[in-house]
Amino acid sequence: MVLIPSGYKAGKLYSVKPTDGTGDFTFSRATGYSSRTGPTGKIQEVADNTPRLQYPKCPAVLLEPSRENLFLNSDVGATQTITVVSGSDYAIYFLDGDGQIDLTGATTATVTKSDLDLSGAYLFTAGSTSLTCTVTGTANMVQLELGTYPTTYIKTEGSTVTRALENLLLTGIDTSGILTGATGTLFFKQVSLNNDAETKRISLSDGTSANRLVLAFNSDSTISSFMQIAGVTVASNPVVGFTYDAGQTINACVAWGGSDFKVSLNGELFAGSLTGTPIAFPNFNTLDPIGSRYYGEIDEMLIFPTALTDDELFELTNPEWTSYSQMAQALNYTLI
Amino acid sequence: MDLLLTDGTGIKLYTDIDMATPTLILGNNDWATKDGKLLGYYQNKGYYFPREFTFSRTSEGTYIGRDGLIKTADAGIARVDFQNNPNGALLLEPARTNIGLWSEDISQWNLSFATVQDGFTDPFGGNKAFQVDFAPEVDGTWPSFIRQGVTTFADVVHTSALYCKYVDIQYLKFVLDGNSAPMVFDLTDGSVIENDTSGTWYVKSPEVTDMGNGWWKIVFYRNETAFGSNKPNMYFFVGNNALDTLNPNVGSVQVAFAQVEQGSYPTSYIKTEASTVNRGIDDIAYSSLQNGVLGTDSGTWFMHYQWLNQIGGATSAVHIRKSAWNNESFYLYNYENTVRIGSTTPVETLCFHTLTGDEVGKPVKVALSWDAGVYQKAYVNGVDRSAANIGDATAYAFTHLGLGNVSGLTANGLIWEMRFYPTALTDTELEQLTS
Repeated sequence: MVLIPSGYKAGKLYSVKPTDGTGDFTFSRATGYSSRTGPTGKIQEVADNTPRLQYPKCPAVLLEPSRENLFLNSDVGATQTITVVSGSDYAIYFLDGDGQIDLTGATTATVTKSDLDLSGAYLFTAGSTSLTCTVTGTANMVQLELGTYPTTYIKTEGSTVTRALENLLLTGIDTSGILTGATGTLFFKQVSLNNDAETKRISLSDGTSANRLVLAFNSDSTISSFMQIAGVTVASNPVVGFTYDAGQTINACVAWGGSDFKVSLNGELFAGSLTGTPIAFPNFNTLDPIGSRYYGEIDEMLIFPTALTDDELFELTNPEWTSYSQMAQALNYTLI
Repeated sequence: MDLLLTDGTGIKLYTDIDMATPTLILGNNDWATKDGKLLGYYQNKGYYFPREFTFSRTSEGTYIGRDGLIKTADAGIARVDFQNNPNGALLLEPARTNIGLWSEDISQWNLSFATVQDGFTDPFGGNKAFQVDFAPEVDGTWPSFIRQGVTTFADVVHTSALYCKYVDIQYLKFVLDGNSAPMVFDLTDGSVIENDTSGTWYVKSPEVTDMGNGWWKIVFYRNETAFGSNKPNMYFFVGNNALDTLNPNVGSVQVAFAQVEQGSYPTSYIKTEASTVNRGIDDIAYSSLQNGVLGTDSGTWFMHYQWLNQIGGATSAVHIRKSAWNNESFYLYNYENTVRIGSTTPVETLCFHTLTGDEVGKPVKVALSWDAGVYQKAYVNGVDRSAANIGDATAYAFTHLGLGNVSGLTANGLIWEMRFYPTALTDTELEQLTS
C-alpha cells in the first residue's frame, strides 16, 4: 500500500497502490467549518467529510483535534467580550490585516497578525472568566480557541462554530493482500502539530485493543511502538533516547516478523524482540482502539507484507542530512 | 596522508591510521543549540544523525560570539564561546552572582572629581565602554576616582574583574576602601608596579590579561583572613594615581564590564543595574550512552577541554556513570594543574598527570579506553599516562554522562570537543586522538 496524498473526494482519500481501490482510505469529519492552506497559499474552506490536503509544500493530509472558534463574526474582527474558563489554556490569532487586538480581563496582551503557520498566535492561561478583545485597525480572520496550541481557521458568524474530529481509516488490509500474514512493515512519514499533553497514536488492529500494533508520538516528546496479540504484549517498545519536536518531520518505520520487532526513526534503528505470532491486521486507523487519536500532517504512508531489512529500513527512513548544519536546521536548532 | 607527531624526545613519523568511527561527537566547530538541548552527532554511511544532550541553566548567561562581541544567551540555551578559539567551545560555569551594581553603566557610580562619557569601543568590539575623565581634586586630600560600593559576604573569597584601556593616564590605582593598601597598575604595559599587602585589607594577587587590542582585563581578590564575620563592605574603587608622584592628576582612561563575585576565580560577565544578578549553573547531560554510543563493557571516552580554574585550588569535573553518581562511575577532573581520572567502584586512580611546561593553562586532550569491563589505557596529550594499577578498576555499562558531582565540584571550563567510541581504541589510535 502506498499513500502519497494527492487524490481525494468527500469521504475518501485515494492511495497510489493498490490501484483496485482496496487501499483507499475512508475519511470522516462530520460538521462545522474547516479550512486549509491551498496550493496558492490562500486559506480555503473545505467541505464536510473531505480530507484536507495542506499546502503550500508537497501536500500532506492534515488531521486536527476538534476546536471551537469563540470569536464571533471572525472574518472581519470587531471588539467583543468573550466568556472563557478561568485557569484554562487558550490560543488567539488573526491572519489578515495590519491592526492589532488588545486583550484585557482574562489576560493582558497585544496580538498582531500571525503567519499562515500560526506561529504568531498568542497563547495564554485565562486568569478570569471574561476576555475583552479590543480591535484597533484591521484584524480579520480571527480565532480564539480553547487549547494549548492554535489550529486552522474556523469561520464564525453570529455564533461560535466547532470543527469536528477527523478520522482516517483503512479496512480490509488482510483480505486485500496488503498484509498477508505474521510479517509486515509500516512506514509513516509525518509532522506533528505539537508535543504537548496529547499522545498521538496510529494503529494497525482488528478493531480491538487485544490485537494491535501501535505507533505513538507521546506527550513527553518520545516515540514508542509496541504490539499486542490476544491481549498479550508480544513486542515491547525498543525505542530509547529518541525525541521529537512539533514541526519536525519524522520518518517512522515499524517492521515485524519472526523474532524481530524493529523501529527505525529518521535512520536510527531500534531493535526489539517479538515473542508471539502477529495476525494479519485488518485495519489501519488514526484512532487507536483505546481512544487515542493521531493529530498531525501525514506526508506519506506505506505498508509492506514483509519485514524490511535493516538496510531497507535505513534507506526508507534516512532524512539524508549530508551536513551538520542541514541536520541542525531540520531539527529546529540554531547554528552557532 | 602522513602525520608528524613529536613524542617529546624527537620527531616520529606516523602514517595516518584509519581511525575507528566515533559514535558520538560534540563540538569541534559543529555547534547548535535550542532551549534545553545541545546537538551532538554521529555519522553513518556519510549522513549525519543527531545525538541530543540535555542542557539547563536557569538564567541568562554571556559569552563571546563568533564575531568577537559579547552575547547574551537566554535561560536554557547553552553557551559556545569563541574567545581566542575560532572553533568555539562549550562554556560551563558554576552559579555566580555579580554583586557589583551598575556593572557597565559607570555613570551610575560615585564620581569624585571625574566625569564619564559612554559609547566607546569595548574590549570585544561593541560600544559599551565608558571613558573616565579625571579632573584635578580641589581640596588636595583625595585624588580623583570612580567608586562603586559593594556589599560583600563574610569569610568567603571575592573576585573582582574590570577591563581597562590606556588613553593618557599611565597608572591606575585600585583599593578596597579608603583605608586599604593600594595596587597600582601600569596601563601602558600591563604591569603591576605596586601591590601593597600591608595591613589586613588589601587587593590580593592581581592577574592581568592582555586582550590584544589595548584593553587589559584586571582580576584581583580580596584577602579573607582578617575580618571574619565583621568584614566590612568594599568599594570597587578605580582611582587616578594622583597622590603617587608617578602620575599627573588629570587625564582619561576607559573602563568596561565590572564584576565582583564570590569565589576564587572569575567567571563570565554578568550584567547588573540597580540590583545584583545571579547566573545559574550550566548543567549538561546525556542519558543514552548504551543506545549505540558505548559498548556494554567496552568503549573510549575522549575529551578536549580546558578547565578555566585549573591553576591552583579545587576545580572541575565531568563523569560518566552506570546509574547514580558515586556508584559505578568514571570521572575526570583537574586539581592544581593535574589531570586526574578515577573510578568509584572500586576506588581507583586511573591517571594522575601533572601538567608541565607548555601544557599549563592550555586545553588538554584526554582519552580513556576500556574493554571487557577493565580499564585499558589513559592518554593525555598524546602520551600514555595510565596509572600503574589502571587495569584493576572495573568499567561498567555506562549510561549517563553528567557534569560535577565529584566531591562537590562543578564544571568551570570549556569543552572544545567530546567523543565516544563503542570499543577500546588501540594505543596508536589513542596517541593520535590525543596528540
